[in-house]
Amino acid sequence: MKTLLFNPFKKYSERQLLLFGGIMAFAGIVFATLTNTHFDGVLDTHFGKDVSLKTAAIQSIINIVSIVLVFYPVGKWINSKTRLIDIFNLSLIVKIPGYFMMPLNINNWAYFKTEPLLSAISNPFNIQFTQELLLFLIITSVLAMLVFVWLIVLLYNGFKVATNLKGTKHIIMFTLAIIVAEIVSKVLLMFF
Amino acid sequence: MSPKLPIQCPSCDDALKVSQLRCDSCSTLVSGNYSMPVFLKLAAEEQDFILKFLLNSGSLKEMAKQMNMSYPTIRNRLDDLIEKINRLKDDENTAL
Repeated sequence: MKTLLFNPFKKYSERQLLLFGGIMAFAGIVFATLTNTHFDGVLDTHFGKDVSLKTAAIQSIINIVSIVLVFYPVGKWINSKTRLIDIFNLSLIVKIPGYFMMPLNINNWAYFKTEPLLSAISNPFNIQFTQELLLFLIITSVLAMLVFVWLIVLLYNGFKVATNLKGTKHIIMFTLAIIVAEIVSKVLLMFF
Repeated sequence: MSPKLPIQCPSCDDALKVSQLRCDSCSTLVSGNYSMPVFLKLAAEEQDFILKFLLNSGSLKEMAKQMNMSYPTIRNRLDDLIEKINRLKDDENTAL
């Protein structure tokens, strides 16, 4: 179970990962539309109130492209035997933790809870924190942190298996690659 | 259960050498100070990995299927093993 959740790349073949990752990416696009969730960046999950199928698909494709564009050359540099299929599968699987945030925005629930907070951000003293709102913020924050940690663990393990990454130098390169992939995804999203 | 060939000194962790060999049929004993071949300096699971590699005609894909692991995991294990064998051979050459 631990391997399945945190390091499926160690055990499952590229075909199994591609099939599962592909199905999950497609399902992710459909559910992102149904729950109005934006995956607008490699590491991002935001709640909206009007996400079209086209927007969800573009965001998903850009996230995949950004990960492959950055992690494949870095992987090749670390180990010339790095395969494109392993990095591509990594880009599909790594988004799965983010999909667990989507139920929070069924019927735009999370959006309507956070929207008043975001509108009042310039004047935070006017925000009325009810017990319900605080509970919502605590639960969402904890879930978001768990999802983020899971995503990073998956990304690290998948990249480690794909490249046989070792040592501090490689870990620094991996860390920089995450930041660059996030920037690349944000830049690409500006064009669509 | 067949006893495992010890490759490391249990006291100081240094590599062990062969000092005595015996013929089972006539009980002749040969004494000396022989280095163990590189293959025997590997851990049992590493030796097993090499045997599997040989028996699968070097197909990592077949090995991955057999061992229920992904292809890159097996390839990384092989790369690590090659690195270790090269290190052992370098150590041997330095010792000569």
